[in-house]
Amino acid sequence: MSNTAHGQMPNRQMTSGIVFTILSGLSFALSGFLANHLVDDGRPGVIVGFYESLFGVALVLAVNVRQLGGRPQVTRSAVLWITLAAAGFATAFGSFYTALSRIDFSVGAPILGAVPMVSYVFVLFLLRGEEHITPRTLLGATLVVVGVGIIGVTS
Amino acid sequence: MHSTSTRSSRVELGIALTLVATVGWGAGDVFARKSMFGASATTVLASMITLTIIALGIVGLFLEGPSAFGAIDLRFLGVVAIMGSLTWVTGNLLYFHGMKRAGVTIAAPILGAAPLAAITLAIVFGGEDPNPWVLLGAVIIVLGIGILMTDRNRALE
Repeated sequence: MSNTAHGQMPNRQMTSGIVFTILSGLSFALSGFLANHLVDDGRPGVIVGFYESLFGVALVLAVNVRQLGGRPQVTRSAVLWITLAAAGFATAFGSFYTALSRIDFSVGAPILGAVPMVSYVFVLFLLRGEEHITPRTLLGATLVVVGVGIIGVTS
Repeated sequence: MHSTSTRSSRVELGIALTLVATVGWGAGDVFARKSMFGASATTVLASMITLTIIALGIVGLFLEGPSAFGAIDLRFLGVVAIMGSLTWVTGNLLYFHGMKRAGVTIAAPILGAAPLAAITLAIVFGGEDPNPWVLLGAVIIVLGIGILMTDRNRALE
């Protein structure tokens, strides 16, 4: 959480953030399920990711045309982080969709459940002072990863 | 014997690629969160998708060749259009707004529960058969998510 988050972030704001995240998780799951069918049909994962992102940018621009209409305020450091984030996401999409042609979706998807732990490692280095990992948060995230690990290994 | 080892190495490569994807998404989430201190969530997302398209386009050209981009039909376009909406609009756009409001520390593990929905879809619609361990793993994931969601009040103290 940002500095405002820890002491003063309104509960409602955090609740809306959690609801948004749950809905996004359902969307990702459905999208991955569809991607699995496309790569099972012999489509290269990278090409699927490319066209998916092409439609994605058109839809995001259409949905947010008013907000993006003016000149967006972006700091120089934000540009750097956006570029790094794009590199991370491009690697992820390309790798995962290619992986789906080799393994079942029910095997690959649970492995992605370890994403929070990877994020926590980066949070420790990059968001120190801005976000805080409580012991309880760490326990919850660990259980998620353990559950995901059990599914991944036994599948 | 030979086909068994070939299948095994295919599966190993698939798992290795998924692990690479895990690192990519895990790091990408934090980079995106970091960028939100200097830009709106929507601006971050729009810029990021554009860069992602360029990166995937270049990699696709090298790995698959230009012909792979032309080998598409209406059904494919329809499905990727739905996927584009699910991944980038209701997926990443909502996730980025969620991350901006709740922080990546809370949002990332909740998103980690997405495999539960994925497994359900794979079982119900994909005909995949789960073993009891999968169900145990699912219960543990739900427990972890429950702890995370109830921790938010402590974080607000």
